[in-house]
Amino acid sequence: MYESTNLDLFPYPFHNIKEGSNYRYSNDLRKLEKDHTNCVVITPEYEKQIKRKRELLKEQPAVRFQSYPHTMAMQWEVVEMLIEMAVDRYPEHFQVEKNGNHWTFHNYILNETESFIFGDASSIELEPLDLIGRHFTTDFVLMVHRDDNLYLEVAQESYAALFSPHWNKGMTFDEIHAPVPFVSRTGVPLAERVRNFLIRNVLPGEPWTRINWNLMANRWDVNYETFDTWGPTRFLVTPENAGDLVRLRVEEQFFYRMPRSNAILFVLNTQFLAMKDLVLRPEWLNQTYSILSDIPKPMAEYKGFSPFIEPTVEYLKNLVEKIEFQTN
Amino acid sequence: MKAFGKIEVYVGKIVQETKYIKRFHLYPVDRELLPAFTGGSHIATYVKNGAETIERNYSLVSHPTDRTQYAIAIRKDDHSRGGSVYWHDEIKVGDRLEISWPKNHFPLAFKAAKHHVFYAAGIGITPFMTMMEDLTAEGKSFELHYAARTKEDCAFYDYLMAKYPGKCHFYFSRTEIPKKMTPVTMAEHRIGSHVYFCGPASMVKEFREAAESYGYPSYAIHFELFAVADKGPKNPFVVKLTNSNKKVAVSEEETLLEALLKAGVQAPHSCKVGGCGSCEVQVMEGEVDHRDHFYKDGERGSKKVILTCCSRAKESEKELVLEL
Amino acid sequence: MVYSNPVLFDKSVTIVEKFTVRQDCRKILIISAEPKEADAIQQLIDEINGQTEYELIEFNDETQLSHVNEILDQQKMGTQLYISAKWEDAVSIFAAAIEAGFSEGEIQTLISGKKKRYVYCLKCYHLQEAAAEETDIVCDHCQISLEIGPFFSRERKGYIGYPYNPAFATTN
Repeated sequence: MYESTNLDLFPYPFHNIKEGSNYRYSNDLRKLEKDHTNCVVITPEYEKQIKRKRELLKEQPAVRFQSYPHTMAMQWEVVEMLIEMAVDRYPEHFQVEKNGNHWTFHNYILNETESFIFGDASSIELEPLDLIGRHFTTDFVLMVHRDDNLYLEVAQESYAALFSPHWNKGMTFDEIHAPVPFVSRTGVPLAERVRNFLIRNVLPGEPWTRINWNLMANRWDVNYETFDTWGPTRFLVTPENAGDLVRLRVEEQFFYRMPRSNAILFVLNTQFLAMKDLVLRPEWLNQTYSILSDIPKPMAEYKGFSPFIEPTVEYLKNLVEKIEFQTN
Repeated sequence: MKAFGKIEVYVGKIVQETKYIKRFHLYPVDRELLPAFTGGSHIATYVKNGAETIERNYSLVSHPTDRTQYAIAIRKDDHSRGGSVYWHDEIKVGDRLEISWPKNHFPLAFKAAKHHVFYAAGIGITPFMTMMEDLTAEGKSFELHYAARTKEDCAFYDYLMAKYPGKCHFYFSRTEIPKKMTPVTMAEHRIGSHVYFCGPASMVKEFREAAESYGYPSYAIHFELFAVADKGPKNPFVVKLTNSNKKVAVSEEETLLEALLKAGVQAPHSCKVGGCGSCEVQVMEGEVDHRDHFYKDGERGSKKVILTCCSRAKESEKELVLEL
Repeated sequence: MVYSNPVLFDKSVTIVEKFTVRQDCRKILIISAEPKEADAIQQLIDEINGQTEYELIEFNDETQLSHVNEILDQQKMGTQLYISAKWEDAVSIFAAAIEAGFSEGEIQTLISGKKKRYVYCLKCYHLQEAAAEETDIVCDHCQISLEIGPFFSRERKGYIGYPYNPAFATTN
C-alpha cells in the first residue's frame, strides 16, 4: 500500500550504529542542524497516506484524536508553526494568506483551502490541530511540561505502535513508557533519563530528533483497541513469507518546544520498508540482519515482535546468503 | 514564526526605571512576530563588543503574549563580570544584537497549586512580573513580597501598586521605619501554596531553609539564582569521553563546559549557572565536586551525573570518565 | 478539578497498611471516618507522643462528611493528612484533600475492608469493576474477552483491559 518507494527519503534507523555493533537502548536524541529543523516532508506516498489518515480519523474519531478543552490556545500555536514550516519548505505546494486574524491556507497538492479566524476555534468544525494535522502525513502528540513531567494533552495518531490517544490521554511520559525494562549504563532508568533530557534540552528555538524502529507483521497500525485482530497474525510469519509480511517500521521523531504552551510537540514520521526491499540497499540488509539476530529477548517482548523475530531473522539469513552466493 | 536559532533585534526604547535599573525594549529587525512565552521566561542576549561577544541571560518583563517586542530590566552591578555595566553605559537606542528564543527554567508550578507566593529581593522581581501576568489571565490566586532599599529604588513599584492592589507587600529597609522581609510569613500560607524566591544567594538560601523547616515539600519550593555559587578554588583536571573517544584537559581558568565546547564536543547546555540541568552528562568513573544548585541533596550521590557548566573533578590527579 | 489530579485506586501510593509518623511536618491532621479503626488511631496518637501538633476529626455519619472540604481548606503548609475510612468514604476524602492542595506524598490512607478495582475495556471504552484476584474478564458491555494489564489510567479511572480472541490465546 504505502511502503516507501523513494529510499532516499526513508529514515533508515541504524545509520549511527557502527558496522558490526549491536543495537541497545540509549538516549539517542540529536539536536537538529540549523538547516534541517523543518519536519514537513512530502514523499511520493503523500496523497495515499493522507487519504488513509483521514479515513482512520473519520472511522474512529475517539481512537485517533483526543484533547482537553483547555488546549485550544496550545493547538493554535502548533497550527501557526506547521503552516509556517509547510510554506517555507514547499512554497509550490502550500501558501497562506493572512488578513489580520483571517487566515486562508492553500494546499495545492490536494487542491484544498482552509479558511479560519486564527485563535477562534468556533470558526472551524474540527479542533485546530485535528484540522491542520489532516494536511500532513505525520502523527502529532502534544506533551505539556507541568512540574517535573510531560503530560499528554493532545494527540492525533494514525500509525499506532502500542499506543492509543484514547488510552494514553492525560498520562505522564513515564506512564506512557512504562515499563521500558531497561536501565542505562549508569543504572538510571532509561525512561526517566530521556524524559529529563527532553524537559531540559528541548528548548524553544532548538528542536531535536531521534529515530525509533520496530518490526510489524502484516499491519500498518497496531493499537490496543484492535489487539484481538492483529495479535494472532503475528504467529503467521514463516521464513518463507517474512519478506512480504514483515516490515521495518521506522518512526522519525521530531521534538519542538512550543514557547507559549510550554509543551513539547512530538512529530512522528512513520515509514515502512518490507524485508524483501532491503536488498535494494545491500549494506542495509547486512546490518539489519546483524542487528536483528542479536536482539535481547526482553527488548523483543517490549517491542511486541517476539512471536515472529525468529522466522524474520531466518528469512534475512537466507537472503544474505543468496546475495553472497550470487556476487561470488 | 521565524526560523529556529537566534533572533536579530534592535533596541527601540530605553527607560530609566530607578537610579540603578534600566529597562530595554527590543524589537525584531525583520518585523515578524516574536514567539510568545510563559511566565518566568528569560532570553540570552549576545552583544558584540569588538571581537568579544557578551552573553548574558535576562528575565523578560514584557507581557508574555505581546509578540511585537520584548523588554528586559537590568540592574547596573559594578562588582559583576561587566555585562550589566556595558548594557548601562554603552547600549543606545538603535543598537542591534542577537537574542535566543525565550526559555523557561523557572516555570509556574502546577501540581496541587492553589496559591502562589513570590518573594523578591531587588532586581529579583523580574521573573515574577510575567508569572503574575499569566496567573492574572488564568484567574489564579497569588501574592507578592518584595524587598528594596527605598520606594525610589523599587523597580515597577507604581505599576505593581496599580495593577495588583491588595496582593503586594513591600519591605523598604532604608526608610524612617525600616521593614525587613523575613521568611516568617511562609508559616501562614494555606495548604497547596507554592513559594518562589529570587534575589541574592544568601536570601534564597535563608528562605529555602525556612520553607523546609516549616514542612514545605520540596516540589513546592522554587527559586532562581543569577550566578554560580562560589564554592572554592577551581582545580585543573582531565576528562575522558567514552562516545567520542577524546581526552579534554580543563584548566583552572575555565569550566568543563567551556573546555568541551572549545574541543569541538557537542555538549548540551543552556543556563550556564548550574540551575537548569541541561548540561547533565553521565559519569562512568571518577568523583565529582558538585557545585550546582539544581539537584536535591540526596540526588547527587545516587545519580552518577555531572553538570558540566559548573561542577568539576574532585581531585586533579584522577580523571573523570564521561558518557559523551 | 484538574485532570491530572491523582485519584484513589487499589495500588495508590497513598494507601498504607499502617500509619507512620513522619518528622517533616508541623501538624498532623487525622480524619477518622471508620469507628472500627479506633485502635489504629490511638496507636498513631501514642506514636506522635506530643512531639508534633495534631488534630483529630471524627466523622460518624454522611452529613458530617460534607464538612470535610471546609476543614481541609483551612489547613496550612506543613500539614500532613492521615485518612482512616472505608473505600467509598476514602475516595471522596482523598479527592477533597487533593482539591484543597494536599499532594499524594502528604497523605496516608488506611482502608477498612475491601478496595475496589476497575477495568477499562479498550474495545468499547466501558468501565467495570473486577475482583482483586482476576486476571481475565469478559466485558459487560461488548462481551469481548479482556486481559487485565498492569497499567492504570487516571483519565479512564481503571486498569487497561486488552481485548483478545480466546480462540487464539497463546501461552507466551
